[in-house]
Parts: sequence; structure tokens; C-alpha cells
Amino acid sequence: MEEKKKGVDLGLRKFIKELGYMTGGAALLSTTPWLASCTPEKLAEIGNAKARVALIGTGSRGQYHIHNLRNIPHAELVALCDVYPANLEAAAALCPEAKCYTDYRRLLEDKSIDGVIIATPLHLHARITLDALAAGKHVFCEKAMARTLDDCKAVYEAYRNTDRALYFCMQRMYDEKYVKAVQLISSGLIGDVVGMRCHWFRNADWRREVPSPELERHINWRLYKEYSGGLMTELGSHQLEVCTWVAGKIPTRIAGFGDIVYWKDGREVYDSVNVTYQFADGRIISYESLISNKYNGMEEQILGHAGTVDLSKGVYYLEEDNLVSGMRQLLEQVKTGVFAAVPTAGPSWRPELRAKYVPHPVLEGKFSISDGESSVGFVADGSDVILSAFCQSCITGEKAKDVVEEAYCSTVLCLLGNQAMEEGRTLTFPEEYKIPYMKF
Amino acid sequence: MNSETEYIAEGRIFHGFVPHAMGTKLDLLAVGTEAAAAEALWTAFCAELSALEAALNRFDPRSEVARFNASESKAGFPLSPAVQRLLDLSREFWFRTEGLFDVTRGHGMDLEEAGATLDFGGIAKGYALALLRDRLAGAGIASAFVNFGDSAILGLGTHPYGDCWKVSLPNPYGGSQVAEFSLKDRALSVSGNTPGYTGHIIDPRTGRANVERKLVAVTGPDPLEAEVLSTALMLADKGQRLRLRRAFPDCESEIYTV
Repeated sequence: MEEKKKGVDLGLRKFIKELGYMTGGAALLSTTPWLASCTPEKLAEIGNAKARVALIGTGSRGQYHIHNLRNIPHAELVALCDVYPANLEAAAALCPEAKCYTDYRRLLEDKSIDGVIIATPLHLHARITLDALAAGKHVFCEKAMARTLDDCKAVYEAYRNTDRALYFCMQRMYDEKYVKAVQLISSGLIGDVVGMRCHWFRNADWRREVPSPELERHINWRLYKEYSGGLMTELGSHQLEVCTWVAGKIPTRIAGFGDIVYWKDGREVYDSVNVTYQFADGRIISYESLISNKYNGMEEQILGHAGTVDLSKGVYYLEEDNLVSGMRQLLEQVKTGVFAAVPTAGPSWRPELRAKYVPHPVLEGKFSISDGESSVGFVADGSDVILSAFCQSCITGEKAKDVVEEAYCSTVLCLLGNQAMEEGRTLTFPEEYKIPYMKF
Repeated sequence: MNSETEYIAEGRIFHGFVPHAMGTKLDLLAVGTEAAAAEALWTAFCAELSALEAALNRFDPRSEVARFNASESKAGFPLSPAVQRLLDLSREFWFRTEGLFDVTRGHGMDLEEAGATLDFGGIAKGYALALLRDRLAGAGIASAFVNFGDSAILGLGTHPYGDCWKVSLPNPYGGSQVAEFSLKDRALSVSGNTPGYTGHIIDPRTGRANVERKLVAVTGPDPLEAEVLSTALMLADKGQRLRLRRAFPDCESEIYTV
């Protein structure tokens, strides 16, 4: 395998390091405890060790992971598995040294494999994850967690009873701009969080080309309920995870509407969804996704009484930038005996035409922003970092705190959203799917 | 004219605030003054500012400038001493800026030319600041900070806890600050475009609005000079910039691409 440069994920690790220096590590333990298992110090400790990992599911997302694995120095991709020959061949061409399987159970029998990466259709996540954990493998599985509520619970229980590391690809938890933004929110930047609005709009049919009609359900699995939770599990799971991360709470009531509005092509999953989640304290998450209009793009807005953070764009806006106007600061200075520059100079201030909302970047310098159009992934969205953290766990055995819990929460919320839309009623969060991690 | 005042006995500081004047707001912070003296100065200044605005507001059909602009025979129009004074000053600045500063909106200060109208928008705030500076000096107030709509600022003497008045210039397009200025008996004038207000500086030679993402900051002892120069530098080419800086030797200027 080609020589890998030490770390695609140096950016975030540098950031983790800075967080540690700034706050004595306290910040890591509060808003992002999962980062504590992949610090630069711990990465240095593993030396030249390599995780021997296998990929189950070699479609577009699986191949995206192959590209990321190539840049992770402590990873070695040793096996591939798929039931669809075309994808398996394409993946094998990317890493000819890996052994190919068509049955994942045979792959799991290979004792030399430390961990598996699962990038199959959603309905297979739970079964393969459970089998892999039972076989003693560390597991990295694509989101969402599972196709059904009971499967989610089964995976969660298995995780509670294993010493293996388990990750679900909630990449936003490892994306620097999200980490920084959530820190800013918890520091009080936008005041009290009063609501959340997330949406993901695309204008595309979400179909893949099918070489032969009998492969339709197999290749276009996202469109059929047996395999897929539709827009909620494929797109919503990322965005709802961010909401529960920020809120530190789980909504108690769920209601929504959805339908097949435009792509009436035999698919079963909605192409338009609109779900409202309400917390016990009254706050609301408004979630919307539509794939026949892309005007609104992808956004995750955390609304505070003093400002708004758009997590996906990495910017924040203050409700009243003028609240701490230069003159007010100056008055405060002369009253309290402080001498400092007041930020008040500029082109003439105009009451009626003043640009009310100025975007402030969450991070200095350039960072990666997704327009939400790709259905595979985009560069430096945290997927590479979380995969690197997983490979690190394969070597150290250290679990990443809260990742499974967050994946469980967001997946359950997605599935409850689907249920609320299908049944046309307001659901109360079911007792049987509550876990100790959840606060309401 | 509406205004609010506040007196901070500890430190003997007076704060006067006009929420609406010349399309923006004005703050005065006067240090080391008795309340009564400051109130008297403030009341007189507000009256003067009000009269100035009433005369210069070209959008108010009753104003002197609007009536002048509408008149058939401009040569015979009787201008008040204040407006005449501003016109004389403007003519001088037109000359010093090679025509880049032009209150006749592209008519080369020739009021007889068809279509020539007056617009003192580029000088009025600086003029008002100069009036206030003179009043403060007359009242024996050596330390004061005046902010006229963020774009025309005057720092007299020093901050009560510092050796000057420090002002920073945030980037109106977001991000970090562009510059910081230390003012001691100096004015600061900022010209430029913002996300919400672009194209308000018109090139008198072409009639076209400047829409560059650019800020010009000028400091100097005279608020009038600073205001005129900051506007002219928004429009000047390289050679003109060099000559302008020579024509205003007391001013320091900087142009920022933002």
C-alpha cells in the first residue's frame, strides 16, 4: 500500500489539542466527550500499529470510506464483502490486496480482522453489527443505526454488553466546525436556545441506475420501506443528532406530515417530509426535507434568543449586533475604569437600511461546507476523522463515549417521525425505547 | 430635535445622544465638565444641528437646499450665510480633490449649468462635528468623544483612563476587525460600502455608483478635511491618490479591500 502521510485528520486533532490547552481538557468532557478517545497523545501512543479492517458493503459510500482509509496511517483494509458483484469488483480494483467475500459471515470468521466497516443498506445494519460484535470485532457502521425501533434497542443492548468498540458514522460529531459551534452555543453565545430548524432540500429522484429490472429494489433500496426509512433515516438522522447534541435532551412529542408529492415512480418512501418534535419544556425542532426543490439547500439552525447558529454553514448571526454597540461599550468603560478600543467606526450607520444579520464565521480560515447535494459524502465532513478514530479504537480497544447513544437517539427519533407521519397522529416518546442516556 | 442626556457624576462625564440626525445618530461623551455647563452646550448644539439639517436636507422640499435645487434662477437665489459658507468650503475642496469631491453632483461647481443641484451629504456631518468641536473648546472641555453615525468620529484630548481615544473598525462584511485608530485631538472619517448599503458614493465624473468592497479611513485634525478626503479616496485612481495625500498633508489615510 502506498505510503500514507501521517493523518488527514490533523486539523481536528490540532483543534482537540487546542481545546485541551484552553480548558485543561474540561471542554472535551463536557460538550464532546467522544473526542477524548482520539486525542493526539493517544494517537502517538499507538506508534506504528495498524488496525486490520474489513469493509462490508462496497457501494458508493463504501468506496468513499476506502478513499478515506487510504489516508489513515494506522489502518489497513484487508477484506471486502458484497453480494453485488459489480460493486465488489469496483472496490477490489481500489484495493487489490484485500481479500474478497460474498458472505459477511465467512469474513467474520477471519480472526486476523480487528474491525469491520458496515456500509450496507439500512435494514442489514443491525444484523451484521450484532453478528460482528458477537464475532469479537470492533464495528463501524453507517448511519442510521437500524431500520426498526426493536433493532435499535437490540443493537444498543448488545453494545452495553460488549467490550468491543462500536461507532455509527455520525460524522458531524467529529467535524471541527460543528464541535466549535456547539461549544460556542454552550458558552452562551446565542443566549437561551429557543428552537431548532433543520432542513435538507435536493432536486433529484434519489435513484441509481439499474442494469437489470430484477435489481431495482436491491440497488434502489433507499426507495423501499423494507430496506429504508427514506428521507428521515438517510438525511434526517444526521440533522436530528445535532439537535439532541445541542439540546442535551430528547423530545417527548412527535407529529408530522409526509407524502410522495412529485417522484411518483413506484417508490414507497415519502419524497416530502415535515416533522415537528417538541421537548417537554415546549421547545420545538422543526424538520423538513423535500427532494423536488433545492432552493433552501441544507441547513441546521440553532435559534437562540440572542442569536442563531447555522451549524452546516459554520456561521452565526446575532439578533442585535448593536446591543453591545461601541458607544455602550465606551460608556461602560468610563464607568468602570477600563480603557480599550471601541468597535464603532464604519461606513455611516443607517437606521432603516442597516444590514441586520451579519454572518460571523465559527472558525477562522477556510473550512469545508456541504451544499447537501451529494448523496455519498463530501471532503472533510468529519467522516474521515470518525473513521480514523474507529481505527484507533480497533488498536486501543477504547470505546468512544456517547457515539452509540447519540446514534440511537437520532435514529429512534427518525423512526418515530416516520411512524407519526404514517399514522397521522401525535406520538408520545414510547417508554420501551427510552435509555438511561436520554434526558427529557 | 429629540435627544437624551445622562450625567455620570463620578468622573464628571456628560453623555448626549441624538437618535435621528442627518439620517443617522450622534453621541457625545464629554469628560470633566459640570452638568449644567454641558447641558447648556448640548442644547445650543442640538439647535444648531437641527437648523443645519433643516437647511441642508435635500429630500425635504421646504429645506433651503431643496428650494435652491428647484429654483429656476440659481444665481439670484439668496443663500443663507451658513449654506453660503458650506458652498465656499465645498468649492475649495472641489479644487483640492481635483473635482472628486463635488457637491454639485457632477457639474463642476457650476451652479448655472443646467441640472446642477446641491448635495451636502458628503460634508454635512464633518461640518457639524467642527461646530461641536468649537463649542467644546469654547466651554473649556478638553476631553470628549463624538460619534456621528460611526462614519464621522472625533476624539478630543484623552479617554479618562487612557492616553487617547481608541476606536476599531470592524469589517462590515463580517470577520475580524480591519484596523484600530488612536485619536487624540483628531477626527476619523470612514467611507465605504456595506452589505446592506452599497452604491451611495457617486463618481461625479461618470455619474456611476461605486460598488467596491472597499473602506477608506482618514484621520486628521479637521473633521471636514477627513470627511472630504475619505469620500474622494473612494473614487480616486492611483495617481490621484498620491496627489490627494499631498493636498491634505495633515491627514493620514488608508484604503482597505474588505
